[in-house]
Amino acid sequence: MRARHVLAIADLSDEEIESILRRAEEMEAALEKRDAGQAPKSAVGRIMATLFYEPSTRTRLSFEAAMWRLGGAVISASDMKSSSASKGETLADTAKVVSSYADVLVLRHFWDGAARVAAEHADVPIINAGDGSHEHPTQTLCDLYTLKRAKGTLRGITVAIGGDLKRGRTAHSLVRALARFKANIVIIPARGMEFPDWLLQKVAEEYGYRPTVARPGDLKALARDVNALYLAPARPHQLTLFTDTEFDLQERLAEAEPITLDALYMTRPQRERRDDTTDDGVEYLRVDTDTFQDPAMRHTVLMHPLPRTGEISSALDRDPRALYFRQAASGVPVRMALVEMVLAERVGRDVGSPSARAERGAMRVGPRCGNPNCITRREEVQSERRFRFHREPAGRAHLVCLYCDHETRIQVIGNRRSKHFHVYEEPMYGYLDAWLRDDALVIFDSVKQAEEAAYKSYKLGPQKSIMTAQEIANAIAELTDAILRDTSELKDLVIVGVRMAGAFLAHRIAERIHALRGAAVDLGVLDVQNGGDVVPRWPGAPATPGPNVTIANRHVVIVDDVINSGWTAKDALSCVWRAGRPLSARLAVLIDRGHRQLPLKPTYVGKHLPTAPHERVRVRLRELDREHRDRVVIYSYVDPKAAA
Amino acid sequence: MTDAPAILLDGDAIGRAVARLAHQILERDRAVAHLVLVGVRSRGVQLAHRIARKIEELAARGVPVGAIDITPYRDDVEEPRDRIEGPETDVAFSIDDAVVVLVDDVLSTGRTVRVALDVLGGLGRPHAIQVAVLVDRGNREVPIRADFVGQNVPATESRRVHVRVRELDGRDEVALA
Repeated sequence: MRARHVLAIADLSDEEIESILRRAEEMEAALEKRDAGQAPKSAVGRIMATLFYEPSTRTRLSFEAAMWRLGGAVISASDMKSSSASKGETLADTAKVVSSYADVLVLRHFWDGAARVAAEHADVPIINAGDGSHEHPTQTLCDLYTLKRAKGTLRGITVAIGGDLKRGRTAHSLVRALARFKANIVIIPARGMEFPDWLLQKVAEEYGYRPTVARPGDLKALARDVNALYLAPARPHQLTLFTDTEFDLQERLAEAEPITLDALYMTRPQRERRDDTTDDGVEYLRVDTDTFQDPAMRHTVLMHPLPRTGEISSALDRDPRALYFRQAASGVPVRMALVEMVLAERVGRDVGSPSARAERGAMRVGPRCGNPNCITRREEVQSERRFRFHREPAGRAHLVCLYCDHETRIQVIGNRRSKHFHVYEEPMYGYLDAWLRDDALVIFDSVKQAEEAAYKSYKLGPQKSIMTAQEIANAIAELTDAILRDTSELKDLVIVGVRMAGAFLAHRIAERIHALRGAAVDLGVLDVQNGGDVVPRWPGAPATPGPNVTIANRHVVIVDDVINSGWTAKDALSCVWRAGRPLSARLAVLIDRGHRQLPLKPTYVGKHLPTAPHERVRVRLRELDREHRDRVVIYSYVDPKAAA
Repeated sequence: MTDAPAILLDGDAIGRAVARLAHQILERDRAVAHLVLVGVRSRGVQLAHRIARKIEELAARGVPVGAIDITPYRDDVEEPRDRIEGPETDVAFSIDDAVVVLVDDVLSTGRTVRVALDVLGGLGRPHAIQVAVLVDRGNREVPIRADFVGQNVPATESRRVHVRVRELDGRDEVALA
């Protein structure tokens, strides 16, 4: 029996959600009579561990209160960010260890998909209390509970959601849950804080529903001039799209019939997810007593996940339609119901299935998730299954990250048995499907990655030598001399190689600097595929925890073997900047083959090599390719469509 | 050498530079189905709109214009940051598979463009990103190059480049002071 995790609202069936909401009502009723000892003690002798990597007051306290009310006990680490995380312990290890102390683990983390990683390693149920901007399912349960209590049902009610819809995970989960329970949705984003397209697409795909978009000004117009939000008669389940011109609005009103707004759900600007403190000039939706004076808003309840930052006037607090404090109070009974369900379903201690064990360390190559905030880019994820396929009718296929739900395009596909790869294009969907069925499919980020994993192109043209070992040595010497010419203080210089080949070239450059200047230069390695920390180590050696190379206030020279489109170099720059603000960054490459897709220009180039797009250039180094001598080869890449 | 402010480009010259940029972008990206412009706030946005209007005139095709805001991440920011998007970022269209031309008034150290590349990377998966600037004044600290340049200023020029645009500053000019 696997532990019953609640990582996303989608992990709960409609029936389960309804049963949780029903049970929460019973819990609330029991709590009101708590002097009589009515609250069910279904967690006596059980322990909840709360792991919060991000600050939270409400969520954490309501979870802990819920557990105490159920008769259980709570253990928690006061500030995860300053304890094990700062010692370099992975989330996976922490989850594994802590789960041996408790019966249920409540996790909040700043990386998208963190809850799933914890669930893979924990032996007890994980409840996600918010992971990055990905999911926050218990908040959604509280929202649904409050709405249902106020309105009696969720089906067919009209809910407007306003504010920062871009970063607010609360709003993301809520809109999907409302669509699932067939509520009408009006969204009122602040400018520049719209729902991401993928989310609206998802809602459309999953529930065949597109929420109506209004502007912050429309609500004021609604309260002042208009009696209600309006439905267009042609599409009775959809609200009309408001535009900013008065003319359009009037025209639409003329042919529309009124409906009432059942609830207005406000969110605050997500400053901590945006890293800024100014919101001057941003048109943000604010509501006050005026907004709620209009007779049309008579039955409109006002909700907010709290904390608020001025978007709801405190003058409204005593208004019976203001439900945000009740919403916050509902956190305890709702979480009681959820914890009770999770604890009841768990039978025995899950020690991990043999197949889960075998998966560990199985396949390290493979694409990385396109979401920079995804846990899989920060922490090594050992499960072989990191994506699911999302197929579109046109033969397009995406990978959807199992951890953070972000969609990533398929670049290169390989066959594990034949050790061959193809660049993926839509007409190749058949291969992908067949190899997937045969369990032979491997997906790579790039041709380079496939080659480094010792896969061969489906069909190679003849190889042609471009540089000999002597020419490579000369080029490295020239690159080194050029770098030194631009360097006044050796201690200010850091050479950073991009794994794999770039790291070996960086090492050779550092060796030559040492030979010429008689002093060592700082050498770092960065792996753009894997988190991108700049670590001081021999490129072939496994990662060891330790202090990173200092980047701040130094001149950084990034070294790579070949520059083509520039995406790798751009990622390398981002990695460097994440490590600190350098005085300058320069880029040294052995070969520049053109075809740039980004505005980057290497500072130092060993050899300019004009190539055709279908050609491949490989720098083969003694250390990396176990060859007798270094060489650079070029070969044609035969289009797999032509080869097929 | 004089210390008095010198007008590098007047209103007409800026108009011609914008037209030239529009021509160059069209010449290179004519075959691109999905071409979009993204201006860096504030003056880059005004220039992006002007280039878009010119492209519309020349090629009778509309080009979407967005804006990104990197004010919190300018050169004086010391701390590394992961989430990179200012409050005024406003790109209301998909940039997936698009050729994105990033427009700014002045290219100097390249730090602004580097941040902008990260911001764009966070907004979608463009096919390519190109850079168009009114003035390239050299002094690069990041290996960035512009694809389209209105006017070069030698790196030895020690005066500051001031770009003024009608919409924000009342007149169009590029001055050295």
